[in-house]
Amino acid sequence: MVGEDFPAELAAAQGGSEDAFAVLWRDANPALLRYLKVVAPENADDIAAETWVQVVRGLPKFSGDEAAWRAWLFTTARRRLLDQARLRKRHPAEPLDEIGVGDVPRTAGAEQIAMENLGTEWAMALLSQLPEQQAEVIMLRVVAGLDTDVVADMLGRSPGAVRVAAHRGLRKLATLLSGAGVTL
Amino acid sequence: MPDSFPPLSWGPPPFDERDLEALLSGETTDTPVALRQVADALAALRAAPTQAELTGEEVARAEFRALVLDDGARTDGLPYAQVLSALTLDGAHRPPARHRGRPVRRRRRSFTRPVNRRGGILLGAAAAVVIVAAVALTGSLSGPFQGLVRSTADSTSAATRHSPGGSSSGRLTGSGAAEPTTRPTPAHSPHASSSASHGPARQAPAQASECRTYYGYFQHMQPGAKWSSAELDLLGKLSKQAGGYSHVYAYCASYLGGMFAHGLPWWAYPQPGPQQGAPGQPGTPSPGTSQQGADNTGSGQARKPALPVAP
Repeated sequence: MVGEDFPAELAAAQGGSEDAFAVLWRDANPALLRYLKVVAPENADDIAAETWVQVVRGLPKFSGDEAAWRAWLFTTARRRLLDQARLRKRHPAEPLDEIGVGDVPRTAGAEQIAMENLGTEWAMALLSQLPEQQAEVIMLRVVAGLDTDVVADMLGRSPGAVRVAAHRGLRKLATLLSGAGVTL
Repeated sequence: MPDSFPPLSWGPPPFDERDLEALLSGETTDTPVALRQVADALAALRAAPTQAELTGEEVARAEFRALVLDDGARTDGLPYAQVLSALTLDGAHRPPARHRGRPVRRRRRSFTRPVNRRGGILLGAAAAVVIVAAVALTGSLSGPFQGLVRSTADSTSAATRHSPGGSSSGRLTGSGAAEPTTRPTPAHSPHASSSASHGPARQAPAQASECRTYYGYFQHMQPGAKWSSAELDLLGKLSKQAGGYSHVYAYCASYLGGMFAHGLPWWAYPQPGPQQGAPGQPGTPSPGTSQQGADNTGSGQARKPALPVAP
């Protein structure tokens, strides 16, 4: 998070300051990449690049605080992600209407989780073990720093459904970690 | 006494919804034992950026520069998408028309394009004269250049730079706008030169910024304006880089984009040696047609004319 300097940096970037833009980029791009590497690992870099192009184009028209900025950035990324998914037809057209009990892990084998601590990469690999909706909600809450209501707006779901998905994901993580015997 | 003991799983759950919400919010105090590994995983997700996640900064900066410059940006703190319509610079900084001199014209002729292009250039010259005369006759010379700038911004943004994304970045991917293929300088387009491999890529954005700043002065010229020291300094710098005052426009033309979609005002063509004086006085417009062509970068507009020498 940029913090107290955010308004000044944003104004400067909107005025054309490359350095100010770089501050915003350095703050947000790692989180953006991590989110995309979990939800769209094949195209994360492409989607991130497209996201920033859209953000730069729309930057002069943006107004809001840092939370709104991050919400806008990740919303843009998600739209790019959905566009890519429609084009590539790699992600199933899974309706986000229900986050129900039938979630199936996207990959099998908790035992495949790395046993040593690989830091961020390890954590992202762990999240990839979760069903897509749960992983996405957790990434948006944790990495993007968005609150439940904002995530709900992004996903077109109710805050309650988002909360349920996040909690289920965390419980599943706890199960995966305890079952894999990971020691930290 | 019961016949069997209650299951060992009875008892309070190891964690509850509040504990899970606390994890999501990043609160690490009082994390239940059963959730500590999960907390560590989430902490790893929040860890400081890795070098790999920051390697794309230069590309992002270049993209930003290209999009900002393409939009006629200035780096003086004004919103770059609104600059052309919101400029309210006062007249004290308007440079006068200046530079008159036969030597300039001769030098400009060194950039003259092959003979077979003269016909089109003359036609363009005639069109420009008509436009300038129309502007003068309508009496809209006073805040006139703001209007010209607005119309330039509108026409360039709406007509020549429109892309599905509504952005001007089409220029970066080889916009469909009718970019001229011949230029006095080797640059093929300002943004290709600034972002790609042409010459010292890092210098191109600085050159573009200086050129746009210098020629930006002409967009809001007011009667009675005089050169400021900053403008003279910038002109001096550009003339050194361009190899002479008479080459400044040729040097900058590829960076001006849509600033002068209807052609550089005739009094704005650089002349040898800065001269103080009232604006509006006729300078010596350039018959150097190559610079005119170079002005049409990405604009899709007709080439700038070879304007006659003002009486």
